[in-house]
Amino acid sequence: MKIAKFWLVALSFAAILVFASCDKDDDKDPTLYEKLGGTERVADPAGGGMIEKGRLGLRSVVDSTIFVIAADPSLSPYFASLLGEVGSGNLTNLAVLSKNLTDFFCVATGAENFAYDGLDMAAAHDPARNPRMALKADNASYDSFIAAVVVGAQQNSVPSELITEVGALLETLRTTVVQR
Amino acid sequence: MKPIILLMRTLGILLLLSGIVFICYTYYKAVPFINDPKANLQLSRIDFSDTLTANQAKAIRASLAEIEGVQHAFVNPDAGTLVYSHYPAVVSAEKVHAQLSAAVPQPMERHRVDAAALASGCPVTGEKGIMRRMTNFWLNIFRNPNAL
Repeated sequence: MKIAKFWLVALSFAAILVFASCDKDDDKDPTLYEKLGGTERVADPAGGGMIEKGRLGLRSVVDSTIFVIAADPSLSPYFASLLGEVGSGNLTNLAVLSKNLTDFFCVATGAENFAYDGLDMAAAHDPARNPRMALKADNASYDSFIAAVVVGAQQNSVPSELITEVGALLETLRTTVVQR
Repeated sequence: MKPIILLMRTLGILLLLSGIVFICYTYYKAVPFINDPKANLQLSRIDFSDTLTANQAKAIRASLAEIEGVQHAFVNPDAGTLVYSHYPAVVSAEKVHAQLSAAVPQPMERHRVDAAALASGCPVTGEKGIMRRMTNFWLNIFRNPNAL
């Protein structure tokens, strides 16, 4: 009898835990990363293998955005090294920026399987702490950067409501990035 | 055993272990790029003397598509700029400029980045010199740089 009571209590407790955790998952709002594709793995059109759908979407946007940035003379002072030539067979700045910016956006939109190991945004955009930052960013150049991301997202058919969310996310970084 | 020999052996073992750790770390950093087709993809820019119309931009993109080694292009008509990606092992920026100049009538010149600008810029493009060289080392071992 005592054993039966013990198992009854244990099973009841387990059931409460399970249903309580399910309730939490149901109420949890999807992250922006999940809305952009999440962790579902799909074939990677570039390079083979599999890739998370969310990362694939963000990478496509980043790659398109890089072209828009490089073609904008107002952003040239900040991204000049993108157009720097490297020797044949060597790793290009395009590849480095694509990976690092994709990592950053994955983490910023809520992905859990990636890490951004660069400088924090304040230090990264402060010439006193980061010698690669030749000059401080101003609002006009940050507006151009956000506009470039929007164009990149539109080129990849990202739904307008998600573009708005990405834009809002970038706006939260404005006061940190813009230091002039 | 003499202390000096013991010390040298210890230092030798530590050096060897450090070298192994360094090699593994640089390989780990290079892995994301080894199978990335963008690893050797160069970005170059051409500046036109004036703004471009939609038809001119379309003609420029069509001409670029004919050049082997060019992978993708974006035209900013309002700024009169063209950015394209290409594999330097197949076609250099000079050759692309020469071929495009022969194909379209608009005056253009190659956008060049000086040494000062190359040393600065967005921090996410920054890589420490030794890490970049080691990544190149692993890239050239595991990938054919001429493959598209």
